[in-house]
Formats: sequence, C-alpha cells, structure tokens
Amino acid sequence: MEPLTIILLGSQGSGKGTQAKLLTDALKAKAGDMSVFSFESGAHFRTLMSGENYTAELVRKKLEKGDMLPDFFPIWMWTDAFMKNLDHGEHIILDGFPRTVTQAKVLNDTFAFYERTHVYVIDLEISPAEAEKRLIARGRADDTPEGIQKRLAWYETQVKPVIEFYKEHDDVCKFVQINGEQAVEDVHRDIVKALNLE
Amino acid sequence: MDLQTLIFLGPSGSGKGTQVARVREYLGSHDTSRNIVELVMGDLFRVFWKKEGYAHDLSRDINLAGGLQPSFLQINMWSNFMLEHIRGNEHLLIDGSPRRTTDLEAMESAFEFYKRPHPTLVFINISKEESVKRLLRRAEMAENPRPEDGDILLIDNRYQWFLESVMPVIDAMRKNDMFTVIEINGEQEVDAVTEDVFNGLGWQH
Repeated sequence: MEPLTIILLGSQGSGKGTQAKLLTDALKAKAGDMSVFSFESGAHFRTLMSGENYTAELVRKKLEKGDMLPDFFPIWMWTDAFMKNLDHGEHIILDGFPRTVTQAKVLNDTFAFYERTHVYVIDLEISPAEAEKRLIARGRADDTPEGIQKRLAWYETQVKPVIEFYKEHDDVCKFVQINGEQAVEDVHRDIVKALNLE
Repeated sequence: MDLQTLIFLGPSGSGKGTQVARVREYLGSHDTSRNIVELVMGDLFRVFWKKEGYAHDLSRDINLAGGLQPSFLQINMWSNFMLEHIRGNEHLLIDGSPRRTTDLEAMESAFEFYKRPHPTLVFINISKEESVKRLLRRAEMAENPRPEDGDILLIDNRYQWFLESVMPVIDAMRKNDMFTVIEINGEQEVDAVTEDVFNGLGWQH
C-alpha cells in the first residue's frame, strides 16, 4: 500500500476533527505495520503557548483580539512536527491547516521534499448557515454570536482561496469535495470511498 | 539610531558575510543601547546537517548537489531562531534568506508580527564569472567550512537558482512598500563596497 497524505479542510463545525479520528482508525486497521502520523495544529499549539516567552506573549495578545496568527507561526509548528516525526512510508493526516495560500504553497513544497506522491485534499463542505447552527449547538465559551460570525467570515476570506488554490493544483494533490452535512458515518463512508480504502 | 532590520542577499561569493560583519561592527559602536542579533542561514543549515534524521539526510543531499533548500526548512530554521532571539528591541541582521517567494511571504508575516519597522534589503550583486572566480579562490583557503566551493558544476547550480529563485524575491521586495531595497555593486574592493552599503543606509562614517 502506498503511503497516503490526507489534508482535511472545512469551516469550523464541519466535523474535520471527528473525521480525522475515524480516518486514522480506518487507516490503522488497513495499514498493517505502516504507522499513521496524525497532526492537529490546535493541540500542538496549546503546548507551545503554555511557555513564558516574548513570542508566546505576542501570540496571546493576538488571540485575545481574535486576530489571525502570522503565516510563519503555523508553518513553524507543523514543520517542527514533521521533522521530529516523519521517517519513510507512514500515512499522514493533517487537520486544521493550511489556512492561507502561502501556507498551502509551503506545504506543497514540503511534500515534494518528502517525496509524497499520493496527496489528497478533502474539503468537507457545509453551508455557512449549517456551520453557524452547529457552532451555536456546541456552546463553547468562545462561541459567542460575534465570535462565530468573525470565524465564519475569516473562513470565507482566507480558507476559500486555499480551496481554489487546490482546485487549480489538482495535478499535485487530488482534490475531493465531500458533502459534510450528512451523518458522521456517511461522511466517513464517502471519504473512505474517495481514498479507495474500501 | 532607529531599530534596524537588514537583510543581505547576493550570489555565492558576493561578500555578504564580510559586509554583515562590518555592519555589525558599526552598529555595535554607534548604538550601545541595543543588542544585535545575527541570523546566518548558511550557519543554521551547517548545524542542521550535522544531525541525524530523515529530513537532515534529504537536506544534506540537496546541498551536495548544489540545490536550493525547500522553503519549509528555511522558514522552520529562521522561525526557531526568531522565537529564541527576538525580544523586541534588538537590531536584526539576516544573511542569506529569504530565497524563495514563499519564504518571503512567511517572513513578511514575521516582520509584521514582531513589528519590525522598515526592513531594508542590501542586495550585493556580482556576475556569474566573478562568483566562479571567488568561490574557486575560497575553496583553496585552509579554513573554508564549505567543501562544495571547489566544484564548478555546483557553483553553476548555485548561481542558477540565485537567478531563478532569489531574483524574483528581490523583485517582489522592490514592489512591496514594506521594504527599502539598496543594490550594491559587489565587484569592487571590499572597502568600496562597505562605503556604498553605509551610504545606501544613510549612515555617517
């Protein structure tokens, strides 16, 4: 089996995290002795931010204002994780990035370096209305109406261009759109099908 | 003196390192209130290549072929460096980065984030013939840490990616209001080059 590289994209509330977990399990069951490297930027980020230093302080200020982080920062986090974890031949599942076109370009460059040939970009499509409904239902502390609107608007201006970028570079990464408004197991079934893992 | 953010780019053998040393010396003697932080991409890579690992092996192979390193490695290395060394009130000298336009885009985000005022590019230009001549001469020096200097094919490759990848970075910086770009003729005596660099930066000397 060829090692797969899978990027999960979608707005907040699209179920990326859930699908990443299901997919990791499915790959592990299928992979035999191949390992699965699954990277979720949020968890990595929280560990890094628990430290006391000048950069962490600046990042905290940005987050308090609800601003986006500078491109170099997420790139630094995932390249660091890649360099520490990647060897030959493991499956890779990425969830939560790239979030800008610059990040997507750097990521393509990274895959070329690591000679990753089977790269899939899976866009979990849900409507803005559905995303809003799900975020309200989730009821996390930062899921205030204003916070939700800001994040959905940010998705439109930042992540939509990333999706366009992948559509245009379909030769490097295979781009697949999945209806994210289905039941969890149906979304998973569609992803498994798109990856030929049945 | 204003807080300085100076980037030095030029083909291999253009004398960047020498000029960076002189700039550092000038800053050290004219502004004793601030520290100077020096980010030398080549040095960071040489440390990286000494370590073991998959990425390290692949990167070492690229270097042995005279190739250009991927942007993610460059961004990772200078990010590590900035996270460790930037405290907000030090002069920053960058030697040998950015080398790809994606690398530049990421670096712009870092300059905004760290609120670095008016980054300036000092572009020290030399011709291909001059680059070849100087690198072959450098290869004969006893304490040269760069074994790749003596190989004419590798010198060729390095000049080629300078034209194909670094020149577009320099052009992008010229078009971007964030940066001031100073181009210096590197094919002069070392002192004359320094004279032009200081004049370009508007420094009294």
